[in-house]
Amino acid sequence: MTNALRPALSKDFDFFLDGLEQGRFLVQRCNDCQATRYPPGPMCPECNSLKWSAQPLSGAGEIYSFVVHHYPPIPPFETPLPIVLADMAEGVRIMAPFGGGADTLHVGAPVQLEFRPDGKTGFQPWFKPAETRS
Amino acid sequence: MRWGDDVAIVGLGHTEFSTDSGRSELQLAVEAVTAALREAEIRPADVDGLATYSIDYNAEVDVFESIGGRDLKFFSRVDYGGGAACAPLQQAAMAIKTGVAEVVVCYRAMNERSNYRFGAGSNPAGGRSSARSIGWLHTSLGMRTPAAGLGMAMRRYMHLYGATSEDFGRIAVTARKHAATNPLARFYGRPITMDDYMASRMIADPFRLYDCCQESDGAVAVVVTSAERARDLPSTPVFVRAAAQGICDHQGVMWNFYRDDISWASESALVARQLYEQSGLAPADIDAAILYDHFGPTVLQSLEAYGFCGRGEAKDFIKDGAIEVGGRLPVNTNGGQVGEAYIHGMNGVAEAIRQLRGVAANQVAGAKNVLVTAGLGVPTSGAILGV
Ligand SMILES: [Zn+2]
Repeated sequence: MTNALRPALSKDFDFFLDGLEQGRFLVQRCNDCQATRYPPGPMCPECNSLKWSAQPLSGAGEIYSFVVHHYPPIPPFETPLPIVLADMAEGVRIMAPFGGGADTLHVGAPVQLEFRPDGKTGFQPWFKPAETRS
Repeated sequence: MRWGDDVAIVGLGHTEFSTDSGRSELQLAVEAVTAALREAEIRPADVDGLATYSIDYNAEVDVFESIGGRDLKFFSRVDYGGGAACAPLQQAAMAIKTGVAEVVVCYRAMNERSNYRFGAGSNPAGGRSSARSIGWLHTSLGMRTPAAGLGMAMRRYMHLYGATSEDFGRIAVTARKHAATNPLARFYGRPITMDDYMASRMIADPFRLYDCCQESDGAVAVVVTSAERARDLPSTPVFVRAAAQGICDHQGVMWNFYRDDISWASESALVARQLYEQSGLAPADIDAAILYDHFGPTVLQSLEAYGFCGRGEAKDFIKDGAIEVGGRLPVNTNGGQVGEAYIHGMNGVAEAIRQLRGVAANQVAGAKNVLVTAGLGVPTSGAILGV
């Protein structure tokens, strides 16, 4: 897929950027050993297979760690910006900015991915607090 | 494999450390290189190796041309910036041990304060390598600075082990105490109290202003040669007893977000295992440690990874002044990079050399073995230097 607005990333990231344009967070599942992996890469570290399929995350996860960025300014984000690292139901860990209140920000808290239009060609993933664990 | 004392540092040179050097990075580089050579009493024409590490922008051809070099047989530039601070020592040692080169100068020069700042919030790590793609992705998700990347790891550490801001503050207060009596330090004469620390503003919560290294302009160079040649030179040889590199599980550049336990610096533990094996030394033999403090709280991770205490125990290890000069393990006796200057770890190598020569501003009496480490949370390196 060619898109002039896309950053010049490795070809290995094409499927991931495709996913964001559709409002999906895609990870890779190995066609040979079924291991799920993220971040994107050409080869399965478990079995060295080059065959994989893209799989969308359900979006349910649990906070593994977090940081709150205060300085310097990082447009287009407002600061302070909480950034969450979460272990997802599918067994991968991902990062996204957190749109909920600071009082819900603690290790182990359930979170849910949501997609907000990024004002360009696709969507920006954000975490929000989840009511219950999935 | 045991290394033995067959490679030695015989010259040390540096510029002042400042917020605006007022001259080119190349000038800083060649000032430090020639100062180190003068101290070693080695002529530029005898230099046959140069070693530096990435995010140094001084080309070997320019440095060599400027100093009036003749034949350069070995040139090495290890990647990953501050994580490679001790890698040139390893490169130099390997080149000398194999006979590839006889006199290797390791250098680092940067106008990282006046020309560009790593903490500016715009540059994804990874440069032009394949690591740039994930760096771009993190940037798009709001992860813009080294402070945020390592703050994420230390938040997890706090969760697992109950470390607090006050524990982080002890490291900052100690570093500034050491810097306050080091005339080379940016914060010479300017100690801070725990109250000052707790009142300092958040940069990337849990990191406060006083946890962050001082982006600086400056240069450091060291001359490395064989122990045999060192015998005929004026300075007390400082032996490279061990030097190692490490990349571990799910290693990133200024982050290890996808590692099972991001609070544990496995890359540093890998370097530690190699250093103790090469040197035949144990943590108890180390008289002082220069632990890379891009962010002071990561000293806790280093104390554990290099075996000075158990996992999760570093906050207790530092409670009674253990890391001050006079304590069980003086750490960052120059004030570290939060107190002296941030020359990407090379000023830490310089401090280790001064301690072993017995000429440090905050001297550890009778120091025989000093550990010096490079940045963690990136592919890393370390060395044990000794006399
Ligand atoms: Zn596989």
